[in-house]
Amino acid sequence: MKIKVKINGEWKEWEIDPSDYLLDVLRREGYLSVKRGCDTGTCGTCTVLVDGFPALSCSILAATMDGHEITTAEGIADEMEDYMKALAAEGADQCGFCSPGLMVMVYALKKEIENGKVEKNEEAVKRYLIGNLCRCSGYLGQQRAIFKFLGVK
Amino acid sequence: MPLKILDYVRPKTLERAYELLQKEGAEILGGTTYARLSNRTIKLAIDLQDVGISDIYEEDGYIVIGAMARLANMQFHDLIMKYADGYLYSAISYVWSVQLRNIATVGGTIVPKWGFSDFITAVLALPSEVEFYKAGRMKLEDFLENPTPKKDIMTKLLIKKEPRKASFKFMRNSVYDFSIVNAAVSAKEEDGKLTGWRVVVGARPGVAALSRRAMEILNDGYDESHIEEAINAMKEELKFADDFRWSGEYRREVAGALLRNAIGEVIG
Ligand SMILES: Cc1cc2nc3c(=O)[nH]c(=O)nc-3n(C[C@H](O)[C@H](O)[C@H](O)COP(=O)(O)OP(=O)(O)OC[C@H]3O[C@@H](n4cnc5c(N)ncnc54)[C@H](O)[C@@H]3O)c2cc1C
Ligand code: FES
Ligand code: FES
Repeated sequence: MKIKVKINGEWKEWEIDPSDYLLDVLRREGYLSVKRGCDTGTCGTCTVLVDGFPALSCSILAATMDGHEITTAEGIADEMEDYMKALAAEGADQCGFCSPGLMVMVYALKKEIENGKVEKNEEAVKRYLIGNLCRCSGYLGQQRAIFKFLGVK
Repeated sequence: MPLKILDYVRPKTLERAYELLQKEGAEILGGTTYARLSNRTIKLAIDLQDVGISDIYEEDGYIVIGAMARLANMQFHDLIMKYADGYLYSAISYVWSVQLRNIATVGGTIVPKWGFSDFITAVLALPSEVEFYKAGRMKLEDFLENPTPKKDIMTKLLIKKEPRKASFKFMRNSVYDFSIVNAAVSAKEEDGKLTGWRVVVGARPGVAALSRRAMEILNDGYDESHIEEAINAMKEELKFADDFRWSGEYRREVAGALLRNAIGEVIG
């Protein structure tokens, strides 16, 4: 079957199998920032934006995305340059496998803080990011970078 | 072998969706998050996103939540944020992660009656009903206590709008994990008194259930001796069992403690 999606601002038509999950399709189509970690809805490395909201691409049937808008880390990299600099300055990345998914979440979180849906404090930021696991770092470097980037005191 | 879907349809009306569901091997899709974890074959997957059951609104004294509303849509809806001091807003915030709540649907969360559900525990503590396309409207407790309507579509969750105080509690090994046991309590505020108590314990590990005896006792009074009696009645009335996480006995004791905290919060 065919689906049409607006991916990183551009409409594309893809041939998919009805059993495909969005993660499978995105990686097949070359969006390699989208990582397969747990593949069961827990680690957050597969996070993308669907119609502007963060969602787990490993847990969404691709067929249901026909007509929807998807944004991957590739699509927001320019806007998130300051964030990437903040991460580098803290020496936060180790293997980097979790980074694209986390970047998509931080992008969404910044918007949620701006429109008043999430409070700008440590606790609220940590709770928002609970679904993004990192198996290398122990989180502290990322946390410092994220708090700095968001201006959390 | 992962989930296999042979054919996918996105009908425009509930009537058509219901008709298609009657075919052998046809199944409803919610947010598809849990479907993902199974390894069965679905001959015809029916996506409800276009049938018009995603809205949240107020009608005839109820907050109506369409079965295809996402948990996050419900959590952040004004009617829910304002209900019982944001009780459901807060309870839903403990359902896994932001990224999951943006996908998982209200229907897909209620219909399977999962024992581990935090959402069902929290909602059951409020006077609420579910509506199915063919089977019609029923109390949430009746839905949970009886066989699920076969080959039917859940269309709505309805929560009675009245002044209530409520509290949801859980015990987990870590906050980003499933609840090992959870509990929720609510009571109606009427002329400075608390009436119509509802007491729920879930993840026993069986699905959330009302403790009707505890409710009766609290309706009689909610001083210390009544509270003690209600907690003991709950421990006797509800079934607790062992699983790989915890023993039933430990769950029963923790449920008592959670209940005490929840009742305390409701009384204020
Ligand atoms: C990794 C993970 C962690 C989770 N953690 C928690 C947690 O901490 N607390 C908690 O409470 N819950 C938790 N859940 C459960 C979650 O809240 C959802 O209930 C679940 O993901 C299913 O939602 P869905 O909309 O994707 O349903 P789907 O997977 O699409 O459907 C589930 C079932 O419901 C049926 N169905 C769906 N909609 C309807 C309808 N309208 N009418 C009839 N049948 C229908 C489907 O046919 C299917 O059998 C978790 C789920 C996952 C995957
Ligand atoms: S790969 Fe999707 S949550 Fe882990
Ligand atoms: S840096 Fe390796 S998983 Fe996060």
